[in-house]
Amino acid sequence: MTTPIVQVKNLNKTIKGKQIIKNVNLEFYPGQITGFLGPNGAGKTTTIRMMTGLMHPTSGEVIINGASLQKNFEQAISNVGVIVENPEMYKYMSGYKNLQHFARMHHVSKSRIDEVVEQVGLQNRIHEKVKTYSLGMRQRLGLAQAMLHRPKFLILDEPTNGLDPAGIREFRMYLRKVAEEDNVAIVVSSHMLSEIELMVDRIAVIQNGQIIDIRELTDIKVSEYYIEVGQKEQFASVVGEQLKPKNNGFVVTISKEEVPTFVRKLVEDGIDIFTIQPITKRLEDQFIEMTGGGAIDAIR
Amino acid sequence: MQYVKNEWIKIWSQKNAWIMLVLVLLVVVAVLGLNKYFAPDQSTPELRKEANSEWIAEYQAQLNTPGMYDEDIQLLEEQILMTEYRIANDLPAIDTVTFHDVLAPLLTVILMLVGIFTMVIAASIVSNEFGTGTIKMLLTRPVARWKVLLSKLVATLLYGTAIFTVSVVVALVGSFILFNNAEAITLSVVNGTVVEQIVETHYVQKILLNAASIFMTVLFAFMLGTIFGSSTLAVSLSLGLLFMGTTITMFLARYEFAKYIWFANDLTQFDTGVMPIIADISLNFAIVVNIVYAVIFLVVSFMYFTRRDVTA
Repeated sequence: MTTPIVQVKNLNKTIKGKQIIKNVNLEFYPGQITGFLGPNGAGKTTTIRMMTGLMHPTSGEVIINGASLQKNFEQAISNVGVIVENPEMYKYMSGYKNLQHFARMHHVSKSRIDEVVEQVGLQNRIHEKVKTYSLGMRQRLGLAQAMLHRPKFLILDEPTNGLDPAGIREFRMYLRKVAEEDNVAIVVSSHMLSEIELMVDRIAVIQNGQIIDIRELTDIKVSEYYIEVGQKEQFASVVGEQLKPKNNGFVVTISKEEVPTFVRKLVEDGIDIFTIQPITKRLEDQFIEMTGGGAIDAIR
Repeated sequence: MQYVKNEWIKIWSQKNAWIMLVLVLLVVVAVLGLNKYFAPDQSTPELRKEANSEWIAEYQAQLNTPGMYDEDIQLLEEQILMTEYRIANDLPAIDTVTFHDVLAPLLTVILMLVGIFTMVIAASIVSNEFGTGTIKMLLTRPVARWKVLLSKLVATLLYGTAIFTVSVVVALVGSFILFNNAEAITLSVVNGTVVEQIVETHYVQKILLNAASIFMTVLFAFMLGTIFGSSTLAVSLSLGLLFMGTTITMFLARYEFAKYIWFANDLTQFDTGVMPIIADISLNFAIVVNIVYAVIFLVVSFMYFTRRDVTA
């Protein structure tokens, strides 16, 4: 993780006297997939639209690969691939003609179109009109148009909408591949937290127009361990107050660094340890913690 | 330009564009066919002589009605003189249908239809993309918004030019084949002798004036389509305003400011044989007013489109 490819600096947006986005700062790094989360109306879509140039910020800037999206739109946006909500393509044209249409705006060659079509697995239906496509096929076409010009930054708003479980899995693997092989920075917003959890390296949470948390999923510190021991009463007296009974054992709150000392002490005291395992919090639990729960099924 | 090509392909990929072209062509074919069907056949000298003789008989019968004014009698006698001249010179009778007799009114109809259909495209070419949400796909490309809008305007004007050209060619070829393509000759009697006159139809003047008028309505509809997200609204609003505009202007004609209204300066009023809405507007004045309005329509369209937030 070197220098960020995208910097969102002090972004503000006021619509009709109401400040919707308050001083948002974000950075996106090559090869990293960031999940963008937030309850409904938190300003997720507005932020994404400002990162794609569809909406103009009241103040602040989005810098993409060194170019300001606000001052140097054409140069900045040429590094970006976008799927905003459902990929709305021209239904009255074939998938191929749609891609040709966008390829002309990126000055992309015909061979690249064929390559992308093959990557998303649409080669058998690409010459049929888009109105005959299923939602899953439209998502694939949406992905194809976003990848046409080999963007360095990929913005995906609700990308797994309408995909079946197998499709989601495939999509996830494709994104992972793109991030790792082509070193693309990816931001994904989704209301399906369980999907995001498996897909992303990092999450940014927005609430009431403000970024309230950014964290990397890989280094979330596990601070709770589940332990089963032979001598429960003796164990309780040794450990003291930071002890919660759970199932057949206990939950202890200690940091990862403390674990070896803790175990050694138990062994020295002659306590038999049957099991000790970290308790991983699921993203969903963390998210509820961060946003104060409530609107969980309304999140998008 | 690649972006104009994109818009051109999109226009023709939709059924609308083809339906409108076919409608214009159907009208052209129908007008040609009806004219041919009802026109008297005067293709041979015998038929021409017969037709002219019938007219002389008709005039003579009228002369025999009692209680005619002197002026009427003189008029009928001149008619007989001219018809005899037609027989002597093997000219077709007065009710013959020539190439120009068909083409001139047909051109008016074509221009009217092309104007309306181009306006429909103009009103919907931007608003359609907002309606279907494809605007998001279009504006997240490395192409500045003004270029996208300009290519749409150019493609609209090309569409109008294309359907006009196709229908005029069909009309021209059709009437050339079907009708007498000699110059339309009218006769008049000067000092008791018959004089031939060639009628000039001012096609070029008519086309230029109408093209300018269509260009203005296209800019107007394009502006509405850029401002309103719904193509239905934009199309019906521009149609409605255009039809009501002239009527409203007539009501306002007695006020001084009325001559600055766009509708009062429609250039087609300078075509031969058309009554202007407000009498004292000169061609130069109207051209200046039209240019001012064109600039306003364009500035509003481009300013709004490049600055707006896309929330579709």
